[in-house]
Amino acid sequence: MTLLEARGLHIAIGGKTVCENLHLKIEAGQTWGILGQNGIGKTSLLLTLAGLRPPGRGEILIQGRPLSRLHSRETARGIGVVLQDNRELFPSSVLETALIGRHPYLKRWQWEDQADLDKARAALRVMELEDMAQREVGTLSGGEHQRLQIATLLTQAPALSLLDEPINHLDLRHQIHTLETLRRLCSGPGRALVMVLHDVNLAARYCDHLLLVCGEGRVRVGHRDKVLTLDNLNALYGYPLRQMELEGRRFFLPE
Amino acid sequence: MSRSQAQTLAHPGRRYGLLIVLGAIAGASFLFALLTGSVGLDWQTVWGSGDVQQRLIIELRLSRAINAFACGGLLALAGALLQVLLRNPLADPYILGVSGGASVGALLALLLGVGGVWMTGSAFAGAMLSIFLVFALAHGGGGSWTPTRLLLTGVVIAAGWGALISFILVISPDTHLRGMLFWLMGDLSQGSASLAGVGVLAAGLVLALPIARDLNVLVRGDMRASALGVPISRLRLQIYAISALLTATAVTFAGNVGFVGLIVPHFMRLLGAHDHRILLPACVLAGGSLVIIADTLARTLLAPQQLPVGIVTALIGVPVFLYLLHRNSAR
Repeated sequence: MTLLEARGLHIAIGGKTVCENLHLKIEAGQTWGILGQNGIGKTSLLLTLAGLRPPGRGEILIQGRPLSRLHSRETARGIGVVLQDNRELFPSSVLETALIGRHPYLKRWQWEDQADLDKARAALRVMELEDMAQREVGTLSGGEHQRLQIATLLTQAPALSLLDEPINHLDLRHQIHTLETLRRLCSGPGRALVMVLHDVNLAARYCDHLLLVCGEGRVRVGHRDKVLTLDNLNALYGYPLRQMELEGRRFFLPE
Repeated sequence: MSRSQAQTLAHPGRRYGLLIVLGAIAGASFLFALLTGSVGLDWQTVWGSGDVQQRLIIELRLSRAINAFACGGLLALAGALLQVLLRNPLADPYILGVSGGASVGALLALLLGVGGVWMTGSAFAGAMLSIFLVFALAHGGGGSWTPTRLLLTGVVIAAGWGALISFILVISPDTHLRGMLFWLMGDLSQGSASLAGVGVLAAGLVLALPIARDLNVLVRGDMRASALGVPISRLRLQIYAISALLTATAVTFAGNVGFVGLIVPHFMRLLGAHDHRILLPACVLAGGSLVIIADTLARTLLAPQQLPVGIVTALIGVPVFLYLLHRNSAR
């Protein structure tokens, strides 16, 4: 099942071209990684795929239907987004914050019911935030807040999850735990996962498909084994890398 | 602890607990306003059929209390909405210049020596002019309508009105100055019961409650709200229109009653009302009660001298709020 299809996508930001005539199909069960240098347009690409930023040209289809013609609430039930660094300015508890993931599902006068609460609690439990359900979000550390954002996405439980640097601020154990959790819950039958990542090795480990944003409109798209080559990565980061093999897995290290 | 919140959310009775308490406080503050004053009344007279003079006093006090409640409710509701619209905890109803426009209108009327309906009309016209000016300028040029742009436009327009207010005060004859200063500091003494205030308050709440859950999302940022299916452009327009109308109405018949619109929403949040479906009606009840109590004190503390109610709202609000803030940060 194709969850998202981009046809002839053209994106430019601040006079710089991010991609030209990009064709992309994200199928259920896939996990995608978006890699690229700072400021190259990874976030703009993610936002465009989410329908939060209009493309210069081209079309995005969500399960076969044009994104531009979907109602925003409908879109929000199909696509969930985790953005970078979005701290809260007004008081709210951890549980209340996770519960806003249910917003697209509720009718105008409907309150969250026990089932919604159960979903939010389960998401908090998975992200190891259950003991903090009553904490004020302003008192969370950067990493805890990042995990709360992901718990909110899990509460939303969309078919397609788009995350901008989801392991920012996380310690090593939580990085692995978060990526394992995302792949287990957000990618599988009927679901797909797209993440902007900076760690090539974690991308190689958790993503089966990759999208390399190389700048000046050049983009490389495809399966991990085809795209993740030393030459491609050297060009992508403009820095020489070295490839090593350890217990059958490939690792890339900067020179 | 976590259980209790699950129950709060799941059971309507507990969900509305804060509103029930605030409703009782509002009722008590009405009673306080009716019983307090230079002529002592007891509650039996209020309910029963006292003589004509006593009934007259009750009617006067009641209409004043109704005005005070409407004024406080309008300002607190407008403040809560504007804080979300501007995503700024420091926003208050006057920040976008609505009250400045109204003040210039009212002061011009006072300068020309016209009162009553003319002054009310003039103040309202000034408020509406300011609303449209800020809206058109913040929106102009096809640019995006960001909170920052709206805030900056409003603040600059407000500064412009401030200069005009000072100018009018400087050129006004001394005999008019006292009335003008009272109006600027918030004055409920001249109003007969105005159903317009209560009506606009009710209308504002009716218009705001359907979008209250959207506000829960918008308060966490535009992009996040969009991603959760909230139509933010339309929502912002709605919030701006509702809050501007509420502020214009409050300022028109009560002048600048400071502090209520800024502090009451935070006060309610500190009491745990984070959800706008509870926060908005809570602000109406708490803001209304605060201004009734403040106005009753304003007309009795130094009787027969009357104080501008804005002074009293600040004198009550500052210590209570600071105490609450301190208590919450200590926890």
